[in-house]
Amino acid sequence: MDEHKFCFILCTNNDILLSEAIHYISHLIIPDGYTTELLTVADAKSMTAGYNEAMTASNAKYKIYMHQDVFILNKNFLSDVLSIFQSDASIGLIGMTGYESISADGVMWHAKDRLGTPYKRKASYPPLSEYRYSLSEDGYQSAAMIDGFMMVTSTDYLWNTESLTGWDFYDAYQSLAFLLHGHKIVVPAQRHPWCMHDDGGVLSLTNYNRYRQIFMNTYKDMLGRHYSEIPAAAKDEGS
Amino acid sequence: MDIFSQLNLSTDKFFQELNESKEIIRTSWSYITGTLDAALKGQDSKSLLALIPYIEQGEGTPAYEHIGESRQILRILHIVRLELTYQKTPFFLHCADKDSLMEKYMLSLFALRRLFFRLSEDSVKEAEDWLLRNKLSVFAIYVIIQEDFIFADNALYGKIAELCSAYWDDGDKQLFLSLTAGN
Repeated sequence: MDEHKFCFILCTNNDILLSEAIHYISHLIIPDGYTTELLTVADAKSMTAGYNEAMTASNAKYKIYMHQDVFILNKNFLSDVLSIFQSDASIGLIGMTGYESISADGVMWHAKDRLGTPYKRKASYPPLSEYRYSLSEDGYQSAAMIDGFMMVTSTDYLWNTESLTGWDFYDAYQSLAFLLHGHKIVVPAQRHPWCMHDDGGVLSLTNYNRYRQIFMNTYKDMLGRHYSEIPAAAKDEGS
Repeated sequence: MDIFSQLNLSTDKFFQELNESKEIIRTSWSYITGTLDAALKGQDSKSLLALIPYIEQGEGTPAYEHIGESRQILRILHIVRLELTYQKTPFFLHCADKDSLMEKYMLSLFALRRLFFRLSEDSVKEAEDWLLRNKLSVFAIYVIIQEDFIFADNALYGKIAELCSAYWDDGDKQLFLSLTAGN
């Protein structure tokens, strides 16, 4: 494992979006002493299968799983996530938006306590050129779940290909995997959003309910619970 | 009934209704994409514009509600309607099918964003070159900026006005100024 390496991992089926996502990645400032690599998985069987393929192919300690329609705006993204990981060794997963609790119906965004700053038109942000995250002043908040458009890890756990054969719920499952293994999940407070997620404003939910039912059956004891109520001791549940 | 049960009940109802609408969504999306491909192949603006009421008020509304790409298609159609009304070169010129139309839209959007975010000199230069080569109308630029995720400021508007003055006429320049004056 290379402790000084970041790996960007993207499953892709659209060259135009991928190319633009890479354009923004290519403008990030790489912290001194660190290297980066980029792994793309074209036309994967499922999100979990694609992520596992790339995860096992990379020896980078830090892996950045992101959608092809995500554009990283914060040029200091890498040093900022590094500062968060280095501030607390138990932090295993960082997201850009997340929730403190697991929604009772399994639908992540139905939880009331959303964390993070999604990019919105007509919102008021400091100019990007002047924005700089400060771990001590801005900080981060703990989460139970993070949105899968951007998931940054400092340790590897296999993505669940057995239950998840599509493009939904991989984020909820992986969030719980980290919590049940005793890791913290955090979302940085972002005065300027670190990323833009250009998902067209509409979620594709045609297969979502199938995986929601599986998730609710597997983790029925976790539904409605706050992250602080999910003990690492329960690590074997549902795995 | 407790709040969790209520939430579960309403979520189950939503997904049941979605499941029942799957075929309608698929059919309306298929009609939209099929019509786009055929209309663009023949550069048939009448068929293209007929999609606006289909999506907004007709059988195409399920696709609009559930498929993100349909929203961008509707934006393009409104751009085209304005361009044709004011006898400007339509956005779909040289687009032979839906995929090439969407590609032009995405690249236009990305170029405008690059101008706004100014990641580097090269990034801005590529965006400028793209906009100069593709000669977008005032309507195309304004609708994309307003509707698709760009937090525009006066610096961006000024940059666009400067760039596009290479191919906009006086009426276009005036129109752009008046549209963006209040922003």
